[in-house]
Amino acid sequence: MTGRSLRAFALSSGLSALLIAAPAQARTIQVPWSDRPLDLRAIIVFFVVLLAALAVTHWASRRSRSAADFYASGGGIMGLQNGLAIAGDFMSAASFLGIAGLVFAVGFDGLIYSVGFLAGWPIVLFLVAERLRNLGKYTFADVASYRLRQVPVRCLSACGSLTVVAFYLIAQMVGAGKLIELLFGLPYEGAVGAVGILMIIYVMFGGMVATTSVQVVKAVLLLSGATFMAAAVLWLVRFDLDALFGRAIAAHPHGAGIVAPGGLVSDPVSAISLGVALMFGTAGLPHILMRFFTVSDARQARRSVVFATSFIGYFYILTFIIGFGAIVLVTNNPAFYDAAARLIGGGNMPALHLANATGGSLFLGFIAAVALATILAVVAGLTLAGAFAISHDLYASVLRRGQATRREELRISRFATVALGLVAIGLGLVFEDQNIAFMVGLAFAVAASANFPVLFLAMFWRRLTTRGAVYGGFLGLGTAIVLVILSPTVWVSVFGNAQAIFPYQYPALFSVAVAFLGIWVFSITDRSAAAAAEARAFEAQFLRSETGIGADGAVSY
Amino acid sequence: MDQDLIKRIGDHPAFRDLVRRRSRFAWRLSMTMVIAYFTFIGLIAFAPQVLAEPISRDSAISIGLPVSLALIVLSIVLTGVYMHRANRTFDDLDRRIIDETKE
Repeated sequence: MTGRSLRAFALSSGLSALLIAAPAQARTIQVPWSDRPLDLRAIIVFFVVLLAALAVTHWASRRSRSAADFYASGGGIMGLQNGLAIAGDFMSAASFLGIAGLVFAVGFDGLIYSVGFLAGWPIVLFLVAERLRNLGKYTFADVASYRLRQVPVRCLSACGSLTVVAFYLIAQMVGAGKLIELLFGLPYEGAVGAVGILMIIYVMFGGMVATTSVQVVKAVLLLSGATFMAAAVLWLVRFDLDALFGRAIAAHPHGAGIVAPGGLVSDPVSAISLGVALMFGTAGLPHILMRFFTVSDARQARRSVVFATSFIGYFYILTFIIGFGAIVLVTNNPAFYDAAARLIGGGNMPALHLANATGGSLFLGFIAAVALATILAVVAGLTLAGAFAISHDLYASVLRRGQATRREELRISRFATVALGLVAIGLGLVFEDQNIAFMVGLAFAVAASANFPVLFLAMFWRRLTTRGAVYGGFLGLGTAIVLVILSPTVWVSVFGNAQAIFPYQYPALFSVAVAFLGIWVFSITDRSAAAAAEARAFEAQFLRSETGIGADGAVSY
Repeated sequence: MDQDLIKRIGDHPAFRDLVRRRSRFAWRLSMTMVIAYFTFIGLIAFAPQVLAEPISRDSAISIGLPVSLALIVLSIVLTGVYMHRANRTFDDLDRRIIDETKE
C-alpha cells in the first residue's frame, strides 16, 4: 500500500477506535423530506469515512494517466495486494448487506450463499487462474477466443459479460439506494439516482489503478468493520455460541426452522440449481477474471487467489455471527421498525441496524460509509469490465476489426461507462425490493451459463470449435435470461402477473446444462476445415497455458 | 524462436511428466471440493432433516452450521495446499526444464 492510502486507512481505523470508545447516544435531526428523525452523528461519521476513501481514489487517479493504466494498473501489482483487491471486488453489497439480510429473514439458507460464493474459488485457483494469466491479456475473451474466430466469440463474451454486469449492478444499486434512503431519509428514487451519478464520476476519474487501491483500503475497512461487529455480538452472548443461536431461535418467528435448511430453497431443483450457479459462476465473472491480468505472471496470479480466498472465507465465517446476531438484536427492537411494523430500509438493511445496535450511531455511520465505499468500488470494477467488453471486445475487435486506436477505444469506454451507469439506475428502480444476495446469485447463474462453459472448454477441450462455442454459449445465455424473466422474480414481482411461467427462482441447473450440451453437439458435428484447424491449434495453446512462454506482460501496449 | 522453443519443451519427456502430474494434482483437488460441496447441496436438496439435527441433545446449534463452516475452512485449506505444492515443486521443475531446453 502506498503512503497516502496508508494514511487514509490509518485515519479511518483511528476513527473506528474512537467509535468503540465513544458511548452510543443518538443525536437526531428532523428534516423536511423525511417523517423520521435522522441520526446526525451517523451522518457526520459517514461523510468523514467516505471522503477519506474518495480522497484515495482522487490521489490514485492523478497517477493514472496513460490508457494502459486505465485498464490494467501498470502491471506493478503483487500477490497480496492483488489478493486483497480481488477480495474487495468480490465482497460486494451482496456478501455483506445481502447475506446478513437473508440470514435475518430465513436463517440457515442464507448461509448457503456464504458457502457457495466461496466454493468456486478453489476451482478458479486449481483450473483457471494460472492458465488464464498465461493465455490472456485484458479480458477472459482473449482466452476464450485464443484459437477460435475472434469476432463471434468476442461477441458472445461481451454479451455474457454485459448481462452478468447488469445483474450485478442491480444488486449494488439496490443496496446503495436503500442505504442512502435509510441514512438520509431520502426517497429511494432520488437515492438511486444520486448513487448512479456518483458512480459514473467515480469510474471516469478513477480507472483501475484507483479501483485497485480503493479495493485494498475498502477490503481492509470491511474486514475490520465486520470483525468488530461479530466480536460485539459474541461479547454480548459471552462467547457462548449455543446462547447466540438459542436466543436467535427464541426471537425469530420461524423458531428452530432458522437453523435448518428449507427457509429459502425448499425443493431439490432449487437447491441444486442455486448450488450449481454459486460454484461455477465465480469462474465466469468478468470483473474478477480481469484482475488476473494485473499481476506479472501465473505465480502471482496463484498467490492472489490464495490470499483472496482466505480473506473472503474469513469474511463469510463472520456472516454466520453477523446474520444470527442481527436476528437476536434487531428483531423485536422497536427502534428499527416503522409505524407499520416494517423493518426500516427493507430486507437488505439488518447489517446496518446491527451496527447501530452494537456500536451506536457512530458505528452505524462508519459501517454505512464502508458499505457504500464497498458498493462504489465494486460498481467501479463492474463498470470497467462492462465498458471494456464494449470498447475492446465489441467496438475495437468486432466493429472496427482491430483497426481502432487506443484513443478511440478509451473514448468509447467512457461513453460506455455513462451508459452502464444509466442502465444501472433504471434497473435499480425496477428491482427495489429484491434481496441483493439473491440478485448477485442470478449474476452468478448467468456467468455459469455463458462465460464459464466457453472459457472452461476453450482451455480443456481440444475439439471445441467456434460454432460450438458461439451456438452453445448463446443458448446458455439465452436460456438463463429467458428463465429469469419467466421466473417469479420478474414475471410476478416486476410484471405483476399472478403466476410465474417458470416455477423456480434459480435458472442455473437448466441453463448450464443447455450451454454444455449445446457446445458439445455443435462442436462435434462441425466437420469444417476451420474446425480441424482449431483443434490443431490446441497443442500450441496448451503449451503456452502450461509454460507461460509467450505470455503477455502485465501491460504491453 | 519462441515457436521452436515451445515445440522442444512440448516434446521434452520431463515436461510431459510434469504437466501430467500437475494437472492430476489440480483435478484431484478440484474433485475433492466439488464432491464435498455437492454432498452438502445434495443434503439440502434431498435430506434437509439431517442438517437440521442439533449437534447434541440440548444444543440450539444444528449440524448444518458446523458443516457449512467446515466447507468454508476446507476451501481455504485446499487453496493453501495447492499453493504450497505448486510453489515448492512444480515451479522449480518448470523453470529447470525450460532453462535446460533453452541451452
